[in-house]
Amino acid sequence: MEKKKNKKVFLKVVIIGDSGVGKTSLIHRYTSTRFLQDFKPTIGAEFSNKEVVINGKTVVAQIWDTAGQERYQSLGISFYRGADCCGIVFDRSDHSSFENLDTWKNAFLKHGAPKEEGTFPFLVIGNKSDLDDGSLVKERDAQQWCADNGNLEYIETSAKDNTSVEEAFTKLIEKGMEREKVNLVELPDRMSQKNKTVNLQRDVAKDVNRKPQKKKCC
Amino acid sequence: MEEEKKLQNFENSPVKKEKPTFERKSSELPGEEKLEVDNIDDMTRTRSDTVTKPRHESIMSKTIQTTYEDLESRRESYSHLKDVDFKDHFNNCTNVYRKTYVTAKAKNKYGFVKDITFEEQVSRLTEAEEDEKEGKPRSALQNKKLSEKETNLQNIRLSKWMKMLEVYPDEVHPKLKSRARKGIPDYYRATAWRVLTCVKRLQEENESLDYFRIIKVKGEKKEIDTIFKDVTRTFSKHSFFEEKYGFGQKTLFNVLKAISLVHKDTGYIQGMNSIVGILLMYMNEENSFWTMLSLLIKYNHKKYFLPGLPGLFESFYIFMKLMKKVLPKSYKHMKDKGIKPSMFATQWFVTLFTSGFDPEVTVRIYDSFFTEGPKILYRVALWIMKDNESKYLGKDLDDFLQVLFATPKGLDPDKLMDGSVKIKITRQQIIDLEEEYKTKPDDEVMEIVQA
Repeated sequence: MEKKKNKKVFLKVVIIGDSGVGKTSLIHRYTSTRFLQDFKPTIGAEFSNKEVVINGKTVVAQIWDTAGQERYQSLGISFYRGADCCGIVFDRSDHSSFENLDTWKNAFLKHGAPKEEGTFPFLVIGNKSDLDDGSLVKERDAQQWCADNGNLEYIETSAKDNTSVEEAFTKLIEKGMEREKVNLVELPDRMSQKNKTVNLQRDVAKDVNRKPQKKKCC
Repeated sequence: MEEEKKLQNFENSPVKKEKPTFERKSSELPGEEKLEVDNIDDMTRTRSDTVTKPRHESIMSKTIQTTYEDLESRRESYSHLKDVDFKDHFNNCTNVYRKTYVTAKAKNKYGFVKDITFEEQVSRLTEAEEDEKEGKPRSALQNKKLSEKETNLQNIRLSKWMKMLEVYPDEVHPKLKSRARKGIPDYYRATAWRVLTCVKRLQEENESLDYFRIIKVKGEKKEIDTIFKDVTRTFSKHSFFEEKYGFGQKTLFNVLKAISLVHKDTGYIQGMNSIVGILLMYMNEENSFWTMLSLLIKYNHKKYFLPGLPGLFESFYIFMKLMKKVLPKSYKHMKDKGIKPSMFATQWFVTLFTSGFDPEVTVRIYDSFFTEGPKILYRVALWIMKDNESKYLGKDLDDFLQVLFATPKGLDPDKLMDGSVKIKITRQQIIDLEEEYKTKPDDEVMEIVQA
């Protein structure tokens, strides 16, 4: 009886975007409800998880925070594989990070190689909305980009003021669940976790067939 | 726009040019103040700047005063005390000395601003008031006067180190390695690191390289932007780097910019900022620059920053091979669960255990790293795994990573060093594994290592 109550869904959430746009702050805000004061650039990748109840289901979101600097992308891409949803973050006060959305989305699709390239659940997140001095990336422009790129959803946040952070992640997770609906087999706690890990391994195994390549950037 | 302007100001006004010599006027730069040490007059000082105060010491001795605005800005940390009026609190506290006392203690030994709760502050205040009433006001900064015995001990250690490094690297003292593992005396660290990394030789080899000229060169915009962004988020809780666009951040900016201009192979890569940050806590900017350069070139640390991160994957390979030997259970567990070292150990190797670790741990690892090279990195990595093995064995990916991400907090440096040196691996093993990785790597391990 107990076990049946503890049905959990595991979702892999990946957050990407330029360096310094606030990926770590957003995740930190979401998982620990505080604004990160002692922040530093992310090297490689960092991991955190949060258990939430969405639409009556307990979901454990495994959130991968990736490095924004180009040099570390060759590492980041290994975390794209097996993702259920992906948040692309840009800094609304930094137009070049907005212009790079294309690059990030393409890199994700290329290296993450999700089955459904056209409909993979992305969420575009415009962060640092608190810095409004009139020169921020306009909502209209961001919406336009999203429309041109397969009708993606867009949300504006501020990790500093805690504006719409929870909302953004909830949306992301919902999207991920939507996608997984068909494939998701609900299993008691332990089993489903095991299941998840096997999945991951299968992803790894898939890749093993590639020759041990000499490492090049991306 | 304003940021841009600030950036320009930042770039165009380098820290006052000084004659680049080892001899430096004291008090000009914090962290390089000369220190009077008793009982060593009879010693021949071959290096003029032998004993220097680490930066956190000199900052500690300045009067630090918190305003209620400071507290207000940190209110989030006190979210459970939403209704407390900080202004009221500070107005009631009229005695400047008391304020200083309370805030000075909020910085830890290494100069980091500690998160202390509001209650703690109040209780410290009460403590101070009581002391005052009893007629024995304690020193506002709690600068404990060393006993005669402790002073002697400190001086003995200092003199040993000075003698050892007088002849380095022409002669390597047989005890150097074991003494470095015990930790270089804090006041001597700056010099010791410079000597151990052979900065002088590097300077001689690159005589035309003038640090103070380099920092006046205009950098490439994209790179400068990245550095600028990272400067404000490097040890932002350390008293030296705390102030936005302050002296600390400016020197960090200069050093990173100089590295990016001189070391063209890599340019500026994230991770360098935290290493230079640690160096700057002990040395002035010019010496930090040379030490970092030596680290990149002579210690070949650049391999971690080159395109494709070749050094990192090599380290992961060696690390996993050693795991297989030293901790076979952990190795098997990682293999079975699909857990890769890139999920948790990237910053261990890239930043030499700086990012995420307490500086008291980091500086000890630096002490050994500068003395004996990369072996210590594998040892520390393996020790961390060993120390946590009982906690993560049998756990799935989530919990496994949670265990490892939680380790750096509150690690005892002595325990870590003692444990690490007991891990049985040899220099030759590492050399052999490097060779193996290049020529015919083990497929099974490669699977785990590959991104």
